[in-house]
Amino acid sequence: MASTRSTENLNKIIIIGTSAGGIHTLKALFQGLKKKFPCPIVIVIHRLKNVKSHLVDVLQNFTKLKVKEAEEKESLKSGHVYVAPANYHLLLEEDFSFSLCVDDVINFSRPSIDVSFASFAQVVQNNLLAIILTGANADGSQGLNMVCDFDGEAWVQDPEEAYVAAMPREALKLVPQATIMTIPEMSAKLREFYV
Amino acid sequence: MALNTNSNSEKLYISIEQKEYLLDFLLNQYQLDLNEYSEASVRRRITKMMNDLNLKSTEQLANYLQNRPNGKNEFLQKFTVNVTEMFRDPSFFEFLKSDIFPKLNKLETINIWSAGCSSGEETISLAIFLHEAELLHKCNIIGSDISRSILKKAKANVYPGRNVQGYSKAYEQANGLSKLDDYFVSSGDNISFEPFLLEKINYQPINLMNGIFYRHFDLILCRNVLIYFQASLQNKVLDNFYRALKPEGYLGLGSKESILFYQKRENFQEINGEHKVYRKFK
Repeated sequence: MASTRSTENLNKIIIIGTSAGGIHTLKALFQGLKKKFPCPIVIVIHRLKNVKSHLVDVLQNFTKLKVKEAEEKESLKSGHVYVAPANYHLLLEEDFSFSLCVDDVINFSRPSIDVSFASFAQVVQNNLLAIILTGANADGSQGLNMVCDFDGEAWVQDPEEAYVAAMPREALKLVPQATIMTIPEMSAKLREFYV
Repeated sequence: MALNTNSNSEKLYISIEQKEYLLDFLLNQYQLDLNEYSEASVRRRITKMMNDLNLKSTEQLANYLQNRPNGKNEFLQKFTVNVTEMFRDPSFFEFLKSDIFPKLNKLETINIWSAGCSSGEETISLAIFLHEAELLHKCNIIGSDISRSILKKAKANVYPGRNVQGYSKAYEQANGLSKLDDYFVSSGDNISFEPFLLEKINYQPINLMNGIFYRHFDLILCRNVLIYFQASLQNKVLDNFYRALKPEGYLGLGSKESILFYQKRENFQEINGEHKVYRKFK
């Protein structure tokens, strides 16, 4: 593996995939997270293209962590929440910087959760925590499977609790070994990340 | 972990070593240098190619290419991202129309380069707006791509009709003067654009790494190409664009691209940060 990672020594990266119902669920998940969260959080949420979006501002109102849109070639930093930009796929380079691409729409989506999870899985491997939350289609399940293939950790929101159960349900179908959790359980677990 | 296949799907992932093997092969066989391309994108594209061809290793892919009549072209066709759309980012085209075209209006002839034009959707979008601004008659537009096969598609001027609805919407959002329907004819499932739109477009295979133009263009559009390159290659390409532009010529990049990493960025003036339009200083 590349030894030239230029950024701070990141222990863990969290990546979250969600669509319908995602914003409110993220609000609940972020509740109680103080500043200086010890790893970067990347959010891939299905969004409309060609529409002026206030997603970053909306999420920023929910959390003390710094929320921003992921920029091309930007290096990941702890305590930051990065949102995948509309109409691009979000990938991760070996030096832990973001990379964007405009390849085919996957699962009717760009950004696609599968594409990002797959890219992050290969680079971050066992230091990746991937989370599937509420959503209306099967995007993310293939990617989550790949996260597990590379020894990463997989959490899936309890479909019973999700606004829209399809995405968690599909993920669990393909990745039955994933940990099923409610949002309060996830949130409590994330708070344990602070040392 | 050299190669990993999983039982639930046909997905396979290539390791860095596998990727390096193929990049060496491409450089040795085809003088095709992908070493300064974005690593994540290269792996993604090669993996997709191998999945589509049902090959299990990059050695197999190299063998496959060697046994093809024109392996290089075939590789490039499959490797290059041929996803493109008309009026992508409508607000960008609206800005061109409102702020840049009036400046070009004064010129006797307008030389434009649409770099990385793929199958031509963006180049035709540009031609439509130039026509509506009554500038097209005095334009010379070069549409270039590294892939000859994709340029053949551009020249053929046959596009799937299923995309028309989305394109029409984008055209309206960009504040087009009429209806997109006025610019094409349908035949079966396909559409073809009016020949007058293509008259001023000259499609050419060009590798952006090679600088071949000098002070020639009044406007260069290169949108969503630089994202596939590492910073070192972005620098070379931007150097070439800088040379290829006339003094005070304009450069338009993709909505998530910028000249932030360009070593000579003081040579450009930012005209609009949101739409990523720059101008070469005198």
